[in-house]
Amino acid sequence: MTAAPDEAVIASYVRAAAPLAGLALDPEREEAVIAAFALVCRVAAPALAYSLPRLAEPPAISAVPHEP
Amino acid sequence: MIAVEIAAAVKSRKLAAREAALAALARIAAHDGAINAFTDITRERALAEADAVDAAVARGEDPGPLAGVPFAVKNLFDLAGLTTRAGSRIERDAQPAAEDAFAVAQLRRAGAVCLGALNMDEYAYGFTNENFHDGPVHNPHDPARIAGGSSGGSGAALVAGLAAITLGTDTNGSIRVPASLCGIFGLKPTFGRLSRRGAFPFVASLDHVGPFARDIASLAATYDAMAGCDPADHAQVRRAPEPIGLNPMAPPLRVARLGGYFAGEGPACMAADRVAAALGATEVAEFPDPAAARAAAFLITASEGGSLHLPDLRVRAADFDPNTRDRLLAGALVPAAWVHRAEEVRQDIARRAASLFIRFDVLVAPATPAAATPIGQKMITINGESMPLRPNLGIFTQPLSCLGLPALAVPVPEADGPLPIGVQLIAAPWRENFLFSAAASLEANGLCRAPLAASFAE
Repeated sequence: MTAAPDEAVIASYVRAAAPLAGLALDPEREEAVIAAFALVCRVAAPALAYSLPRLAEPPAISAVPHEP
Repeated sequence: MIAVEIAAAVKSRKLAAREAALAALARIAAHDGAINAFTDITRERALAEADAVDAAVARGEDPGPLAGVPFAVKNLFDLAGLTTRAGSRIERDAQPAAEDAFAVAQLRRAGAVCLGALNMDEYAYGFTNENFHDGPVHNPHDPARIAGGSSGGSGAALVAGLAAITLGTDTNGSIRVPASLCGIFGLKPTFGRLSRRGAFPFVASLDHVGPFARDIASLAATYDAMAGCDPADHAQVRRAPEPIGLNPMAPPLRVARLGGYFAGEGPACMAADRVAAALGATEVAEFPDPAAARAAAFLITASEGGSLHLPDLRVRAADFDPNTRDRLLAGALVPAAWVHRAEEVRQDIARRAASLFIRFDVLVAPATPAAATPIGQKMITINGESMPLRPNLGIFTQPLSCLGLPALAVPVPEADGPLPIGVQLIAAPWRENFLFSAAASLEANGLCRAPLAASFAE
């Protein structure tokens, strides 16, 4: 994915995913969450488009910072 | 008086710790109504701790490097006997904390005196500290403006002179943003450096605790006091404390101004340019893909935060701050594959960023895109683009904390009219000493300083 999905796709996704997460959203809340999820999609786009090197043995995920 | 001056006066018996505590409590009573920084005042505790310091001095014992220094903490740090509310309504139902957070206990051992707990964005999710339950924190430089967040009470209390040092937390910028908007010094140490035990979590893989102060010597003394190995904190890296020795004869640092994403026009970038020039920066360095690092932090934050609060979001969403609730709900729906990718991006950019520090000791960048904005403002224009204010005040801090790098926000007074703006000094992991050395030289030449806000000066 290189760009944020359009609003209709986001709205459909939120409506489908919320019950799966155990969340019951009234219509007003649903609209607000769709807007919040759209912001996540917009800001997230550069990470989802980032070109990762293909490694035979990917490093373990760790929050401890790398030293030079 | 600044913190190290209070400690020196208490140790030399020129000032009783009780006098210092009573003076701070009187200032809180007189001024906190105007800024709304405190949510809890622990008067009895403060006086008891002050009396213990005075008794130690009377016995000829060393009361500690922060003897009698009045401090306060963001209300997500456990204070024994007080409910840790983390800016929320929901946590008010919790039992009072059984013991102090590790960082608080360390300050107490150093002789500091706890005045109470401070306002914050709910669950630390925000940069404006417009808390729905407790009301907004007002910036002491202009009460119509925000103090920044999420540790806004920590910034405002300090620059109004209600406490001599304060503690906050920084997941994506929550120390550096209020430090910038309030015009004080604030340190986000290396990820894993300080114990977080007893600090209410937000995003476990990004959370840091850290100090604020109005001068570098006090900031260093507080940071040193907070250090210490805590076997009960599994997130702390097993590494001996490395005390900051402020050495005026330290060798010159290799400094670069970060360009590209961190460059631009306006007062914030001009302040960073001035700081870089004062530190002798001759080069502009490019940080590897800061937009992707920021995006990765944003995704990880949304997802971890949403997951942490999912049980309450399911059954009592109406009790959340509306400013926080919809972001947490959205975060709970982020696909797992996106989060895993964000973690891989974080690792890759961290590896690339490490090579920058082979050439440079300190990097310089703005801390916030602007000075304090009016309370209630929803949008901000950054480089010509209008965007929501609340998530974007951290646009310059988020890429750096994503990688766990230590960063110290230094204040440039009157950078935008009467308002201060902060500048980030950034170093390689575990090189906080470089940050303190650079900040001390900026303080010595007068460019960076943190005077009390004009209406609160004595």
